[in-house]
Amino acid sequence: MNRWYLTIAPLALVLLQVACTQAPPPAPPDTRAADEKAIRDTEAQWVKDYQAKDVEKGVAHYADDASLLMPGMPIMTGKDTIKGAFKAFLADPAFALDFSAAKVEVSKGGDIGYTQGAYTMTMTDPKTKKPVTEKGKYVTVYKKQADGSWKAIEDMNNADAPAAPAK
Amino acid sequence: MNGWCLTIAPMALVLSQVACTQAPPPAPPDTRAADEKTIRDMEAQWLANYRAKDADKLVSSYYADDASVLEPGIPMQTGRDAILKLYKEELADPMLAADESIARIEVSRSGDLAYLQGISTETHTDPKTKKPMIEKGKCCRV
Repeated sequence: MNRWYLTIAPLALVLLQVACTQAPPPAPPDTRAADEKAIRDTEAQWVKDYQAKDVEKGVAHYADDASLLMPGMPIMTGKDTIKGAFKAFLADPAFALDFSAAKVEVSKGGDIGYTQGAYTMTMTDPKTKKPVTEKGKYVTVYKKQADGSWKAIEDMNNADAPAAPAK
Repeated sequence: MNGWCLTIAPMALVLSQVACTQAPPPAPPDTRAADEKTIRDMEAQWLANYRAKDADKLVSSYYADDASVLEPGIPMQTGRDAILKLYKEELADPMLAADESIARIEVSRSGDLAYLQGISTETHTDPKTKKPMIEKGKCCRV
């Protein structure tokens, strides 16, 4: 009986150690590729919303406390303030906007991401009343929301050169 | 003999389960407060180097190799060499003065990505009048 005990007790200890070492905690899932795709899809939809001149849908891509940083005007913070600015832009009959990201990066934790890209915007020149086109670049920082969607928290853009007459 | 075996074997299984469940993996440390402080210190150093007109130190200590600077009126400048050229020209202005404060800063949970929103005041030489020109602006850095 004692010999059996002496055989089984160390075996139990070894089993215990093996059980623990063979089941390491699973690594947190790397969601960066999926998050990057979700942000690219968000921007593609955003472009469509502006092209459709849908202010509500366009502004819905901003987080409640988002900031819009455009040249020549103070920082606009909060959805209502941003909405006011876009209402004015989209009311311009010459308004057209296109943008696409050249770079998208998301944190390993999947809570913050950003895009960097180029835009082309056409609008009516307030002085000449003729349409002009501006080419520029942007950086948009996104935060993942409680419902899993990505919303812009910082949106900054500026022109590469003065706007030129639209073609 | 068989009785001992039948007693110890289930006990070993129970023990192994208890031992494993009683030692959950430690949560990854939350370094956001420390990361935020590091970034604030880096921003203070950026401003100090800018004021000291030290373009080499400014670029080497702050920008990643593939960083981009998006300044208004010129195309995006990507890479340390392009950024260094930009700042060398900018810092050569004898009237240059700058101040900056951070309005918002946030670090990702995983500590690998962060952004900030800044407010700046810069004095430059007006290229037309050759007199000092004060410009208030804002920035977003990732």
